Amino acid sequence: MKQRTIAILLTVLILSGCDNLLDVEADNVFSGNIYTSDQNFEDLLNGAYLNLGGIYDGIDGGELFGGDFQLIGTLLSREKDRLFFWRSSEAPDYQDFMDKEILDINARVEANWRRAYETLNLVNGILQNIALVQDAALQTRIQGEALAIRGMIYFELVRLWGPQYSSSTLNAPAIPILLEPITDITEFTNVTRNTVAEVYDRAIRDLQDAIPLLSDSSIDLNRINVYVCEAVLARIAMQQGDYDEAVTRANNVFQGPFTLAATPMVAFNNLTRSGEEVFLIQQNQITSTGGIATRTGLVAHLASLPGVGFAAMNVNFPLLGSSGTSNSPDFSSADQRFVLQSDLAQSSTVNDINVETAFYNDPVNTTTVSPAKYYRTDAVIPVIRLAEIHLIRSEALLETQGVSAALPDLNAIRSRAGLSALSNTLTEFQIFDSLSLERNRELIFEGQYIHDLKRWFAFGRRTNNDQDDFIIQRLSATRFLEPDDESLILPIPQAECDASPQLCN
Amino acid sequence: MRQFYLFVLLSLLWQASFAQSVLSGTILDQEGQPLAGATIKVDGSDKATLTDDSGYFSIELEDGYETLIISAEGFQRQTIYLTGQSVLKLSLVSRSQVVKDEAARDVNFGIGSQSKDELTSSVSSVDASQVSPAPLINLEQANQGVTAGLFVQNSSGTLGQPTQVRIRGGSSLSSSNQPLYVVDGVPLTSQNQSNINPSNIQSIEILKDASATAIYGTRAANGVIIITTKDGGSGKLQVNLDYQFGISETPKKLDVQGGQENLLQTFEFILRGFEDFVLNDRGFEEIDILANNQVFDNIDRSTLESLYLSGVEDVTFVSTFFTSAEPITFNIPAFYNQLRTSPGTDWQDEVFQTGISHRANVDFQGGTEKLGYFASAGYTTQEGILISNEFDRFNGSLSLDSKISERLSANLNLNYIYTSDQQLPENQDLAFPLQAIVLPAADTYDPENNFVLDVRSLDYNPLTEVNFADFTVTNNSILGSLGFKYDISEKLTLDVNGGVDLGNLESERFQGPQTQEGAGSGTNGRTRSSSEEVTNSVFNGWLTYNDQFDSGNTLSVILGTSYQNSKSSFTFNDSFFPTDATIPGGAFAFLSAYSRVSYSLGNQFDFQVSGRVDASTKFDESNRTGFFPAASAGWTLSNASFFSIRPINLLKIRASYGLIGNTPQDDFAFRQNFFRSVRYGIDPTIEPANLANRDLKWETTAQLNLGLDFEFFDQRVSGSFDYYIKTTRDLLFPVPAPLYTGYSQYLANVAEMKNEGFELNLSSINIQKTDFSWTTDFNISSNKNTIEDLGDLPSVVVGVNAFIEGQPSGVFFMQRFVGVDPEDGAALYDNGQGGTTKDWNSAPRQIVGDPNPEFFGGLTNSIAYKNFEFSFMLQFVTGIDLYFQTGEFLSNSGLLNLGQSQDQVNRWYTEGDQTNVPRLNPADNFPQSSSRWIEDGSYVRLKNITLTYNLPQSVLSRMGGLRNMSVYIGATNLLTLTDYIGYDPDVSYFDPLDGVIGQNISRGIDNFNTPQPRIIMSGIKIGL
Repeated sequence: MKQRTIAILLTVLILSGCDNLLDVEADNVFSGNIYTSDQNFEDLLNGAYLNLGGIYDGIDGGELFGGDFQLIGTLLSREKDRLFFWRSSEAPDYQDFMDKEILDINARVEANWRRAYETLNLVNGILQNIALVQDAALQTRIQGEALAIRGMIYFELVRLWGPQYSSSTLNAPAIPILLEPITDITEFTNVTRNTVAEVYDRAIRDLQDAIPLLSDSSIDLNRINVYVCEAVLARIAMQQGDYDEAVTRANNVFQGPFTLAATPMVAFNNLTRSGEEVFLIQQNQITSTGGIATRTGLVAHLASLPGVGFAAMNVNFPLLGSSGTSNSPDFSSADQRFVLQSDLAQSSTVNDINVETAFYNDPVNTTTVSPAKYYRTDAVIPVIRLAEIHLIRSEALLETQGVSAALPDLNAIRSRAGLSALSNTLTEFQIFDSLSLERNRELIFEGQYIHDLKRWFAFGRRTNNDQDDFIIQRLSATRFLEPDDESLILPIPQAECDASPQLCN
Repeated sequence: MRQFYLFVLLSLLWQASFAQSVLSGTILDQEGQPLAGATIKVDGSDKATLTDDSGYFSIELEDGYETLIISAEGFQRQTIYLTGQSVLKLSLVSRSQVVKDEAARDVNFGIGSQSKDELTSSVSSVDASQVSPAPLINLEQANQGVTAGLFVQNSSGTLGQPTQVRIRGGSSLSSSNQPLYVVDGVPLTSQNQSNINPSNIQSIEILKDASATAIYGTRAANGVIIITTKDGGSGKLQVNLDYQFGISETPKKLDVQGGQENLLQTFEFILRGFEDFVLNDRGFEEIDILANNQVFDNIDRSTLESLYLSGVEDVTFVSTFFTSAEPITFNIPAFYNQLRTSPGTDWQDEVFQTGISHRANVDFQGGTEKLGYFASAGYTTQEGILISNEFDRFNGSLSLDSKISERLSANLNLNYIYTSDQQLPENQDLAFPLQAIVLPAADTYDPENNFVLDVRSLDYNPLTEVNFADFTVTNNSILGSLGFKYDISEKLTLDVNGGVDLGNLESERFQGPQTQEGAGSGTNGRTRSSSEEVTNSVFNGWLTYNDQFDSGNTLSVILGTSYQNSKSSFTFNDSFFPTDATIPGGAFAFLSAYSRVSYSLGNQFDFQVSGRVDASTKFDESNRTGFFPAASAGWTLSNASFFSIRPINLLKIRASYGLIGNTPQDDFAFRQNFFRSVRYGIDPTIEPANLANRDLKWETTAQLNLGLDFEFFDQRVSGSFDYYIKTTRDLLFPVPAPLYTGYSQYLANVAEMKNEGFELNLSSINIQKTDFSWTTDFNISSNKNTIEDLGDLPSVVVGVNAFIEGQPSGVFFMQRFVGVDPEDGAALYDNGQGGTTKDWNSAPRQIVGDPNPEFFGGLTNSIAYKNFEFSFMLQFVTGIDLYFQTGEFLSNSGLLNLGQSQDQVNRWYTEGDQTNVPRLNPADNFPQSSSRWIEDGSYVRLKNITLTYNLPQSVLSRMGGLRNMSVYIGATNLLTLTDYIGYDPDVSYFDPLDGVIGQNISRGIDNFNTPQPRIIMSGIKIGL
């Protein structure tokens, strides 16, 4: 009798009921099988945007297009403590980029590498399961955006972590390409680095594949659309020195509903699109790349208003205006991008910064100057602007068709900045010189200039200042760091090498 | 009939009021033998007599309604309330019998129970009567210093804050180290153990070794605390009332600089700014300072004092090296003179308050043979010692015991909890009141102008933040259980019970537009609300078989099963957010079977084998089941026939060994999960959260316990000693993942940790006389924790604490501060190569302290004299380091020109100054953590002291037949002996954003923590 009671009890309660009893789920947690509804696909894609834009989700998250690509690019392209001074005590992790001595344990290098691959893993998951999206139109759009995100990231990774694209580096190892999601620790594969050419091909193919998928969708200017793909392809073509392709892609972007803002600074610190942004990162008061509280994001590092930023970057304002300093943008006093506001006090708020202000006096450390491109943590971050597309087309036309063809786009940017239009009496050499300065001025703090220096140097372009303009860092009176120097290529993080030694051999 | 009683009553009264009476009688021992030499004393008078050889006595009384106290050496004292009788026959119980009875008291294991003298495992019991009358808001605090092996550390003296409890050290790195709380059979998911009405608690059992806890299997690695609430009684209704009033205050004020000293510092801050930012740039390395027609050659203290006293407008610097250089004149900023004329503020006085507390409780107990009942209602309201901190709690409870039939009985327990907590912001939040202590003492504020500081108007003033904000957390919870017991036969019993733990926490924080955070969104301020809902239910069923064999040996077998299902949901809403945030919830279930077999061989040997099989949703199906066995044995040496050492009454040796488990903190760590993240713009997002590891399994702790129980000298001295060694393997810990997966780590069973220690309990009855008794209880514990293996990570650092292989958990790991360079006043750090460096960044971090205590324990003395009872409890912790993180701002050479502690006056001023406080550096704007703020956190504290007066029965009978009544006064935290410089060494701050691993690593940090209040209280208890 006893045994029977026990047996019944155990059998009934443990064995038979087991499966149902141990079937529990928590709220707002999704198991590995996430691809069960169209809404989930949309939300996952939004998650990819969140990562792509570097929206703050913890201190170990790289900011990618939302900040680090701009900041790292800017610091790499500038001579240490000359035009810009970096206050290491405020943000020591970025000092390496200013020093051009980037350690493989650098926290920003690791954070951006990891988050880039996190985004890739996320879009790879979407793409692998894309057939499960029920709504056909939605399926096309999500696939297109996911492919475009993958292409954009691979391009940005290869030009930061790999050598400059050129005939001699096509087969140089760059970064690993992953096209399948990794969800389980048993799926770690023996990945190796793909070559520069392979990564460029992958980026181009993804973006090209995305274009027809996105062509049918209505254009959402706050997200990736067909024009964003064209613009990134234009950037890629320039980086590869494929100027015909660049002209074609740039022309396609001009089909889009974009307009230059009235004056250059109007394109920045807007709560919604200004009209000039081809691609932007959305921010608002709550979801942003961070601020002074998290000590992350462009605003925290560049702004100097108390409570807004800690002004890690100090600008040597006079040197930006005087020629003679290597790689100086040589702003003239007429330039709208050189407007200094000097009436800000410690009690000022971001609303006291004028619309035209390009630089302002640091109200705390009054002897230094801060840039005014990014001072609102709730503003959209322009990633690709129409102004850049003008400059791309101008340069590509100069290379392919000569001075007259290049002038309209170049003059559009010059005129908007309050500079006089150039005439076609100038030589091709003079126009290139002006164009390179214009890129330096227009895209300052946007992280593009380092890549320009690398490609110009690789493709043998020279300005009238000759070699000088390609000096990134004076090492001694006679030794200079030039744009092809390996120290300007980001290292694969130590943590990655520890886990996957084959990537670092 | 009634008239008859009335007649008897009246005649008794008549007799009582007129007659002087004589009482005579006999006093016997418990065997019925006459007791000679026993004292019979009339309470409240000098009258007393002794019994003769035949136990006979006779004594003259006033009215026959006196209270007699009867005592004899070696026997339990007894108090008799006379009711007019003239003959008394009484048996006294010997003290050894009392001890025996106590030993025979059952120890509740939650599942079944066992008599104390058959115990083979390590269990501590806290009886209801030991719970102090102090207005302790939580149960954990009531155990501080009382139970060996139980280390209780308060996170802060802010009301409504959690308390850390560690039984025999922490045994996990990535999961919770809190013990499992089981209330009336329900393992809690909510944190409501802290909110149970202390007056309702019948007993608390603390299961420490593997043998005791194995029956709780997978979650017992951190020990189990079993709380049993009061049950229904029998007999006529008894009502207990109690009320307590208390006053709380900060036990200490820190010695911070006053307005004048602050002004001096401000002046230096200005001058150093000129010196560092301007003069050094221009080669003014050697200077003269001209001010008020005087010449000073240094920015030293006397310069500052004379300049500050005279109130200068401008200062001129002359280079004494480049004499040709043009002198530089600076105007002293206007704010300096504004500060000079300001009345100044004592910020500690502004944020500390005297808190008033009230506690009232009523309970009813009674019943018949068929139905016993207990019901209670209690209300507590307590003000914190910091402004705007208040905690209110209502408890209601009902317990019914019903004997349905000869064989079937039922038991119902319901506890309802309501709390309302006026919370404070997080410690690190600049709105937290105690942050005000670093505001400049020379500055002041205007209440009419939203408490904005006159000079540093941009700084947070916590007074603004608190006065224009509201932060309320309410808790509505029910703990309940219903159990049936059925006697299948004389030897076999079936227990079935079910229980629920339902909790609902609602938090709402409003910050008005006057506050810094509320200012951002126009004029409406900011409102954040969140809720947490816990639904936790458990079902238990077990069979108990008890048999006694002819040989006198006994067998007890328990076989049972249980199922627990718990779910937690969270919501969060912010008026700054476009829509509600979605927060991942939690859910888990356990399905278990367990058994315990106990066998006693005569009265000498006890054996026990127990085990549990658990299946948990926290693991993959293929890996879901775990088995946790334990065995123990005890030998009562003193019962052996050969044992004849007279002074030793009891000597028992115990040994136990077993395996117990611990589960991961995250519910579904074994599989890939996706969470909703922050929004992108206004769009909802989903992100993957982790890599799947299907091989995850339980953390397993193997624990060996060796124990000794003893009683000496007629049970006057008793105690126990336990030695244990706990090795935890397969500890869950993050392992580095290839970054190309997008993750930096995944969870795996890789680490190993050891805890080794001892516990000693001693109780002694020092004096037991008729009118006077004195007992002492002492306990001391020591635990040595070592991380044996961390897997692939050599160390993990969170803030200033670290997990490092070969070291105790959470050692302080930071730059070692070694002094100040007399040349330039720079802080010097150990450079790791035997030298020093001024560059904090290049100085290697090293182990500079251990936040785990070496010894801790308590000493309680209870003294009863006539109707007075006096008790006090000392609690101590030694060999512990603390990090006074507050000092990074409060004691940091005038960093950011913040208000400073007085000792910073001794900072370096000029070349040659020998000091330990570096130069004021106006360029510093962020503190650099170093051993400069490591402090010895040892302390001895007079934790409780109480004096109680029990009204004599003679008084009570005149008050309408009260059963009992007592009044008391007492104090908590009256005195603390310590070298610690902060407010309170009983402290452990952790950053709530650090996650579980962060919270396990971070310990021993004082980061603007509120001290434990000093409470003076008084109360009354009445029994009807």
